Amino acid sequence: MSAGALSLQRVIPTPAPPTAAELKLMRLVERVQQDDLTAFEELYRLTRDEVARTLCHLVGRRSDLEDLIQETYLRLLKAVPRYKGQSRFRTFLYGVTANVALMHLRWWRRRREDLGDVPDCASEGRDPEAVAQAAEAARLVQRALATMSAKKRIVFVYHELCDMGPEEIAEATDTPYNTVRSRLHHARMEFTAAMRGLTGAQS
Amino acid sequence: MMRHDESLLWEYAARELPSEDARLVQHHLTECPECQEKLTDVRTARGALAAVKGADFRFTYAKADAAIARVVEKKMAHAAFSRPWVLGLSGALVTAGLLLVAYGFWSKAPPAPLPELAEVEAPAPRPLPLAVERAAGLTVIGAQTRVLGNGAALASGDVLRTEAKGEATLRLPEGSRLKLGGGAQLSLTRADSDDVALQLERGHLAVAASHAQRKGFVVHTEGMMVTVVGTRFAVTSSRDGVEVAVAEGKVSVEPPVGLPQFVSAGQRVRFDSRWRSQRGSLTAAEKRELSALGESTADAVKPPTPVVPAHGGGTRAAAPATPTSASDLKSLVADAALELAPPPSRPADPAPAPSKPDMTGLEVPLLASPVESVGHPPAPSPTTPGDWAPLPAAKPASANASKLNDESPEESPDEVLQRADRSLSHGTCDRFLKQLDQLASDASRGPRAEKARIIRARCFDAQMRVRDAKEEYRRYLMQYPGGQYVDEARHIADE
Repeated sequence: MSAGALSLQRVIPTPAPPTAAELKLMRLVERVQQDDLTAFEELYRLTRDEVARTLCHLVGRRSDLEDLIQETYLRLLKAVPRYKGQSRFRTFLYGVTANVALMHLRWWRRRREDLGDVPDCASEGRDPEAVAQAAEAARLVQRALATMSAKKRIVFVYHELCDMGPEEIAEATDTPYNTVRSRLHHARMEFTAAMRGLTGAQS
Repeated sequence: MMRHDESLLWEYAARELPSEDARLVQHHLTECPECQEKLTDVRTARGALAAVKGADFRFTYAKADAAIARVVEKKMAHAAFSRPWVLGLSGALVTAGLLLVAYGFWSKAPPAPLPELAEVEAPAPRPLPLAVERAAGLTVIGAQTRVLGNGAALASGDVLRTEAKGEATLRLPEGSRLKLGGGAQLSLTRADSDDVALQLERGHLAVAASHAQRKGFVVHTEGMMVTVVGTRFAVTSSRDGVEVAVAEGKVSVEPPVGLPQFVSAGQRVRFDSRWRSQRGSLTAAEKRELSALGESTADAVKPPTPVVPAHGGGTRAAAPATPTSASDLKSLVADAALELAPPPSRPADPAPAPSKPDMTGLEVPLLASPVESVGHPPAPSPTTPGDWAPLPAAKPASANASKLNDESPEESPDEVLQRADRSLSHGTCDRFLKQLDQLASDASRGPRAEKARIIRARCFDAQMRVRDAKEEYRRYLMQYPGGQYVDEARHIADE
């Protein structure tokens, strides 16, 4: 099988109609743009879990997570007046989050060349066995993600963990579509190789 | 399978491939164990991702919540302050505060002048024009030199010059009056209604400063600054030094070298070419002499104006007080005329013997060596008007008198003495040395001989001829041991 045997179609999903949650976020954003800062607090409460989870996948360090969440929303507060509704607010929010994570990863890489055994973002659940499996999976994923470059990691996480298509990722990160596809391709191979190495070492 | 095609396995596992492509991959997998193994790795990786993705994620946001709450609270406070009505209210409060502060300063302002003083000051509602009140031999020099007459308008920046026998009385916009003596040059650097700065290049300037409030009233001369604190004073600038005499009030004198000092009413201070100061006081004899002189003038209706002798110039009558009425103005003009005009003719008799100058209080701080005395003529003793004005008319011309002046045989000894005296300040006294020697050697001339001797000594001193000056002063002491200028002569001769 060769590369030319299969066509890589650019899959541009038709924008889905905004959900009720999305409409609610849009109304909150409008209120924030009208200097109603109580709406911003509500916007924060509605989106902070998703932002925290994404940041955890992107940076993988709980100790830094609170600072990154705070930084993300401070940037969002400044960026909201520029938001004109040209994209989904979720995409806009992921763009802000990606910038925060990117800056942090670069900073962290300058500070520590060897990431070492970094703590993962632990999950909780009622089933102890499921919790243990999830913790182990999260640890492996984090170690595998740590081998990627920051930009590949962002694209990979957004695509594989945040269910964002390449088009939306391109829009959120202000990156060309083909670049996103390329980064995703290489990120997948790197991640698979990293996971193969991690699981093989454990076995 | 090539490395590039490994990504197809991920897309195949993720069901992202179209059905046709998925069938091709599936067909290849049945024939390629290597790709089957890789597909297992991909599914393992995807399984881990799915496990992470489906995990129940919980996080405590205490720190982030507090930070966001602070930011929102701060922004809300800022937004509230930036509202128009809040801004307006804040502006009103600030304005009210400023008004209160201004009221506080106003209420602490110095009280208004007393009524009687206010009458004296009589501040003019509008600035007076800068003009010449009375002039004789006054010219304004510059690109267009022209002679100024009575009532001529002046402007700041004008440079005025009086002829040797000229005089001028000026009126400044803030009410002050200036009287310029003969042979003087004055620059009206700044003559505004609230600020006066004058530059006396040479000669004599008497000032009757008004009491109007102004930024300053300064007279500069030879690098020295005289700041007006009081009202009446005179400044004389010559090559021999600068003298400031105060008839009323107080002035601050700041020489270019040394500490500033005040000169009060009735005092004078003289600075030599090295800015060594000598202080003197106005004597009763001077005042009496001037009073007598003023009373002899019909227009002199005001109290006698004290005369402040100044070295190298004429009799220095301080300017009259600030006029407060039309009659005062008239008397002021009359006084001014008296100061610079030649005195009225006197009887042919020699002038009465002047009283000995009162040099009490005279300070000579720096007279260390003879060298230091070079160019340092002693402070002129308070003298009679005869020190500067022509002596009484001479007796019938003698044979010697006709020989005194080769250039103008008809010139009288008094005229020679007067011209020689004036030449001291111009550095041209050496051409009178011979005539002065002839006059001084003629013992029959009495006070004229004494006057000639002392002028000759002063001339040597001004010419930096120290030995000759001392010799001349010693001669004077020998001839006139009880003379009018004994103190001056002893002072120089003993150095």
